[in-house]
Amino acid sequence: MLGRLLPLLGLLAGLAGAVAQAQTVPVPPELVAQAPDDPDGRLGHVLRRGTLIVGVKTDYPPWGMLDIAGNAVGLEADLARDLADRLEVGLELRPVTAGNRIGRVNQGQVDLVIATTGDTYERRLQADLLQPGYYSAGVVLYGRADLALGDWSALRGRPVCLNRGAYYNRALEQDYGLDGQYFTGNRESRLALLYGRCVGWAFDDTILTRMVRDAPSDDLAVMKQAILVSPWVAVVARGEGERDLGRFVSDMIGEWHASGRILELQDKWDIPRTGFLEDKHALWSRRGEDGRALCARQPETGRFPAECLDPPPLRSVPAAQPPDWMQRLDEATGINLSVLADAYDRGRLIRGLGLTLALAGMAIVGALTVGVVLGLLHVILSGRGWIGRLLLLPQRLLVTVSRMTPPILQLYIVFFGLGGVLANSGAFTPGAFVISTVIFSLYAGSTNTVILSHALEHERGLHPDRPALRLLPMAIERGYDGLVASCVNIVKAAGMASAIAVGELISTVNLLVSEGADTRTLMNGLLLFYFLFVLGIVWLFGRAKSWLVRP
Amino acid sequence: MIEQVLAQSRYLGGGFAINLLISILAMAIGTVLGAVLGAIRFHRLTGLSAAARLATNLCRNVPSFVLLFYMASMLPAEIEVNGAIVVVPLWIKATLALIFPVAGFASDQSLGYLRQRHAQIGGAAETFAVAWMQYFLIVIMASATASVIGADEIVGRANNLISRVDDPYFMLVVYLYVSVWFLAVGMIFSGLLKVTMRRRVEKA
Repeated sequence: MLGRLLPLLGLLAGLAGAVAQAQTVPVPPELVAQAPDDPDGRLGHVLRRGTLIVGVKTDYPPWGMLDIAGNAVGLEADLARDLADRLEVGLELRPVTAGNRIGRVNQGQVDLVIATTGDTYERRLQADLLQPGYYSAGVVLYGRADLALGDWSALRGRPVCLNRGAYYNRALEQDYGLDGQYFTGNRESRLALLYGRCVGWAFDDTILTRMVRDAPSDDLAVMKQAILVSPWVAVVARGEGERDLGRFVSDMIGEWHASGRILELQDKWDIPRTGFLEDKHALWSRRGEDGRALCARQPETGRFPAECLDPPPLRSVPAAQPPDWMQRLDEATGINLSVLADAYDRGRLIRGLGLTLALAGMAIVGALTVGVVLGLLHVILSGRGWIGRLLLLPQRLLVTVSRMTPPILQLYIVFFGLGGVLANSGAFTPGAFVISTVIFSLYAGSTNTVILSHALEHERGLHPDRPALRLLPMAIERGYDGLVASCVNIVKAAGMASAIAVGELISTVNLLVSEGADTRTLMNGLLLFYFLFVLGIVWLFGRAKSWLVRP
Repeated sequence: MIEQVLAQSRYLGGGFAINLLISILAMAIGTVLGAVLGAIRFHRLTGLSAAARLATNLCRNVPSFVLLFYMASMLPAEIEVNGAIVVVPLWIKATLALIFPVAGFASDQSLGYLRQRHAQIGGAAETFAVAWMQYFLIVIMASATASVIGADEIVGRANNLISRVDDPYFMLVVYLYVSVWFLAVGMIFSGLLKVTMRRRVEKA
């Protein structure tokens, strides 16, 4: 609730001090957007329906957010209102996210999307992005002030928090050599930064600059200059860009630039002025020698002059030409392996695979060690009366707590919770890989402890004179199936480490999917990998047993 | 600060009810499916038996954590029912993901149960019940991972609360409080388990 109130308070403060508010200026008639008399396609549909349906963000204040009553409001909602007013139809705003906005507009669930969509090469292939851009954002680093992270070259090899799915992540890793730590959303990335999990968080300058202005801090600073800047564009369904809906919205955006409408909204929503909008306003206000607006559509071609549009968009994934056999495989079976054709993606997959294997191996060794040590302790101490029982109390507590707390919660508690407290006190904080290994070892190890304790007690009943250590081989044989089951379970659960930014296979696959790789091939491949991986581990345990039992 | 967290008990408890709902549905549906697989394997029905074995292997080997993402990315986000567009709630996808491991487990357990009964070894039902309850506990723990695909459950709600207050101690207290909910259910389960085991010993 507080989060929703804050932007409104900011707005009130902005209104109170609204002395230097920008005001719109009249625009020449050739720049005034008007729907044609008998519009085609989607625009005709909108007019018949009497309502314009626009997809907007609700988690990106103050561009798109919810007010107390749950209505979508913000700069982009205001732009949508302007469009509906000009068309003289009603307006319906529907929330969309970065993940579903393109799908929604192509499926026809919304007529138009105005939702912080950066113009990229890949997105231009998916839907029609309307020129000119109405806003612009780039990436800046919000990071520790003491490290003097003034420019990106200082970040080579350093851990930097990134939001999964942002278009500039790959360029940051590949061209600037950052060690990307991927988190699912703003909240996780920000916390990971605050608790010392990365030296900075690279994200949209729009959000980060405002965050620093609203909550200044001595410890954290934001870079002045954004890089990989990309205009934000309105999006219509594929094929609608060249028809009346696309042309009308493009005209409206041009008119807003000429009249200064978006600058006015920037002031209304208390957003710092940006050079992009001021430049656009100056450009669209210019007149040619004949007195006509320079940026008006050219009567001969019906297009905007090239100098009034944005430069060609960024390419977030360079084109890799998959070899012939991959293309033939794709055509014949629908299995799309083109992600393997790209050396960078291939490297990421191999690294993810390596981490998954390492994590599984460490967790198995750890879980067996914990089981053996605590199981032996149990059988040695439990025969020693009340002192033994007292000494066993911490062990029983550990076993109970780690078995009955979900491992993912344990990861959060140690990584974010305990890690945050430790980081604030300046103590050493272990890394995500170490934390996951320890937690998985304890989680599966406590099950192993229970299995081995029972087996050892049973063996001692049969051989009361033997020392505990000599009972161990027989106890392991007795509890073998249970031990295998718990080790297999922990191998299967190890993917959870991705929740705290361990870049193992599952998180790498999710990352590639979010960057546009073929979902079906990768997800089915992941299933197949785990199927074979677990079969292999069970087979290894079977071999180990025949080797153990032979003498 | 503790009062501040306790004040959110209703909200967090509501989330925990979703965890239990996911777990109960996954256990119920998965057990029925697994029992069918197990029965097919026991009766060695020609043709079907090999398929049931493969299906069991698949269910057993593929992690629910992977299935979670699989369901989230492969199933449609919305479906059309009588012309109206309906959003598929994420907790349903989480339930679907958890049905598979339960079916694999129940297939093996029901095969064991049928074999024990066939060999006229006593206590087959209790053996099944004990293993089933232990597995139920594992599934409740696994339901907490549903938050990674954005499902509304207790861990997701805890993360939601934490994001509003910028204090590492608050975060720690919220997480610990959430783990108390799980511990409490875990304790109830191990109590029930002890009762069942005692009954088994008495019967034997």
